[in-house]
Amino acid sequence: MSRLDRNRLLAATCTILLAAAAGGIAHATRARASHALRASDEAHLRYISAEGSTLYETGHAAGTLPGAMRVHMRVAATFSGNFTINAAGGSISGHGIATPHGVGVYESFSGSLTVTGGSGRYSHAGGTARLYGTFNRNTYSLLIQTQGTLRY
Amino acid sequence: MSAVGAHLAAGRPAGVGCRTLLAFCALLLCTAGTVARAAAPIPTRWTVRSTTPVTLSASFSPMALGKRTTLEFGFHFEAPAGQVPEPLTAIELRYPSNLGLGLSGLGLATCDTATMQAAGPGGCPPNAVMGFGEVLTGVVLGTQIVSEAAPITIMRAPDEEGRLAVLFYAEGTQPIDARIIFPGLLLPSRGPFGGVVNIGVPLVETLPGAPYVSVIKLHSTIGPKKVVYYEQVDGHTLAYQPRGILLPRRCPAGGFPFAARFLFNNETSASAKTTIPCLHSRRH
Repeated sequence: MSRLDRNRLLAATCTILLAAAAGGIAHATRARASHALRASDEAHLRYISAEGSTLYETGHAAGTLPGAMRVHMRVAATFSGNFTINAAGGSISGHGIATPHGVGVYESFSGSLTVTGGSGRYSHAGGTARLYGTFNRNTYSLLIQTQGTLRY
Repeated sequence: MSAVGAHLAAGRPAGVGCRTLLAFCALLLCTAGTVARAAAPIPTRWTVRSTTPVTLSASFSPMALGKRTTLEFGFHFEAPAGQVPEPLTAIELRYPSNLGLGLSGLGLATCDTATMQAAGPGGCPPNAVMGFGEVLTGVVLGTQIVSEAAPITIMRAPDEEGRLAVLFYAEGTQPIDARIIFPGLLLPSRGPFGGVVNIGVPLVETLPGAPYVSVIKLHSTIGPKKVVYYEQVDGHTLAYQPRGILLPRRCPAGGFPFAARFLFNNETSASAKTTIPCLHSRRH
């Protein structure tokens, strides 16, 4: 085999190996996101503490993914924050942003929520959802509703 | 009431000639009971810098980290002797991030422009009040500067385009009888600021051919200071003071930053910054 042929063979082998590796990664990605479900949840959260414009609240989420929920939410011109749900088999984390509207003691808001990860069976969780809720400006309690797709 | 107003109330302005007195009378006829026209929208770019020096002030009362407070803010334009600043048309006031304005319990009700025009703040729900202040205005009539101090009430207004809206109501009585309503809109802002209040200031006419009224200085509060709300508990009406703006437990590096830009009627702008230091604050 000439030197040129050996180089060609080596290049072809590398290409096959790279393609196989890429396929493996793709397969692994598919394996990680093997579940997808339309999730609809509602959480009632109560005030724990506040730091400047940021509330820390805990409560319970009910629906597709029931579990204990904790939220850090910044109450400003827009509402934004992070959440974690401790569901059966693992936790789900993400962030959301919403625009408040309406006035009075109960201020409603709507926006979007993004699942960025988690732990346990949800360690590779992802997804997006619509976010709705109300904020009690007297007690700081939160009612949050989400509707979207969760992949894990 | 301003010094000039006091003199007018006493019957004759000291050091003001008959011509100016007639002008005052005409001014009263022109502006009595009127509401200034709607404020112009705030331009996105203010390129020409004004030569009007301006000082911005801000403080918390009380200043206690982790506690509730009232924000006090103000600005003061300086003008050469015998002159007043250009009439103001818009203000952008930026406030620090992590300021618990949304957790203040302020603005549980709203008051709209029509109600305020018809009945003033007294016709609005008490739970819409967010603060009080005073504005000093001036206008050059002949060779005299006629100044007037007018109380301000800040009210929560119905949201506009999904944004928290407020109305500023200034009521002058002497020597110019005018009720002025100007709108403000709370918008997000980039760090280190938590938000910006865009305020449109209407031009207030005086006499035909005479300049618009100028704002010389303003001082106001946003918070529970002097504010009383009411709630129904078991069929009884109870008065209470709103919680107030929650300060963070830790002071931001360098203090709490505030910044303001002012747009004048001649399309120039001025800006100012200030910081509330934390050196002498402590948690209680």
